[in-house]
Amino acid sequence: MSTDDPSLVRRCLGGNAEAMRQLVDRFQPEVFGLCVRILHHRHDAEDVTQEVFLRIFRSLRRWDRSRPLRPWVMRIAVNRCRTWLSRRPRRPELVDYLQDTIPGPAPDDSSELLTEIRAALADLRLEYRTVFVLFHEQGQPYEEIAEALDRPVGTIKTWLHRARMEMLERLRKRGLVADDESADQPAPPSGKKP
Amino acid sequence: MNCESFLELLQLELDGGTSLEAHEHLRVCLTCRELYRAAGLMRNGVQRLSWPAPPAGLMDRIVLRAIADRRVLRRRRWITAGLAVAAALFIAVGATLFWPAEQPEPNGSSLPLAQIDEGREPTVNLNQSVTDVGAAVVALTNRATQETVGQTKVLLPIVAGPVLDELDLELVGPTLSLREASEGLSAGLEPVTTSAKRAVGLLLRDLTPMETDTKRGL
Repeated sequence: MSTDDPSLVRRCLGGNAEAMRQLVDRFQPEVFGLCVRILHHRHDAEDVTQEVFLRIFRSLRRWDRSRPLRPWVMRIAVNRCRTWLSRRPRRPELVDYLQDTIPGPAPDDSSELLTEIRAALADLRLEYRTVFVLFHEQGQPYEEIAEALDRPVGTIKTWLHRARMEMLERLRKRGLVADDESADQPAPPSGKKP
Repeated sequence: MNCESFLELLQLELDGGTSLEAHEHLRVCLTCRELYRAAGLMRNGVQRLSWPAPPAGLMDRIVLRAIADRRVLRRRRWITAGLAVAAALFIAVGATLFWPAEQPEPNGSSLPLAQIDEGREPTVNLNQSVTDVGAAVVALTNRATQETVGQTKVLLPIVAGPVLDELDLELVGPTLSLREASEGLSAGLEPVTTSAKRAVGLLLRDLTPMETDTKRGL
């Protein structure tokens, strides 16, 4: 837990605009990125991000100062995304990756790989996708993810393992990891081609 | 090692554990080998995915909206608190004005009814009422009986009944008249009526403290 979380929260509760700006600045990238990953829509992600921070400021008095602030913030973000998804009318997913492309020319296979990974992420069910993004993209440990999603650590591990297996199976079936040898022949030592 | 065990180890590697690159199982199982390669691609690809950047100006919009929201909520809290105080005052004043005053005792005593002495004589009215009712029932029953028997005598033919042997049984006459029975009934009901009066008195005594609570604004 960051040592200045309680003091930052105290100043926000006192109405200090600068403190509120600092809090938004600290968590906005994570919250917004998570919203984009979950909602697959930048415009919706902007709206939800605003909703998330409004909720944070309204509920700041209820934050337990003995706990870290980030999982509490991420829990609000996940819940708002879930609510938004349940209310959003079904429409074709508008996936906007214009802001996410790697700057400069990229080889075809890496573009294809990234496209497949994004598509695989989009196909994951909400809980699996959330856990995968929080662990692999944001680098959060199991305990923080469990606190953010209000689930036991064992459940988080199960969800993440299943998310990984689905992605791996998809990449394998899409031919991105085709093996040139048959199953009967032993694999060559790593790093050397047959 | 079977595939299931290998995949469990793969999960541990993806958690940041030991590499399985040289694992024996990879030499013999094509599927697991492909999955292992897919895991490598997945890890590299995820690292190269650029994290979505928030648009410029989003932070300013959020902060301005949060400040405005805070002002609105504070105003609402003040209004709610004011309404609650006004409602409590209104209830207190209304209870003071409209709550019925406690009725004094018929004998001038200010004691509640529950404090009636045990040996005190019960009121006459209830006894008298029960006696009167009993007498009325007796009179009505007698009249109805006489009328019925009279009609029956007219309707039924006189039939000479069988001669019965004289019974050895000695018939016992009634020990009590109906009037005495009704008086006994009213005497038996006295404890019930006394208990009822005592219960009502206790209830009224428990109700009277509500007036002082209301005055205190609770």
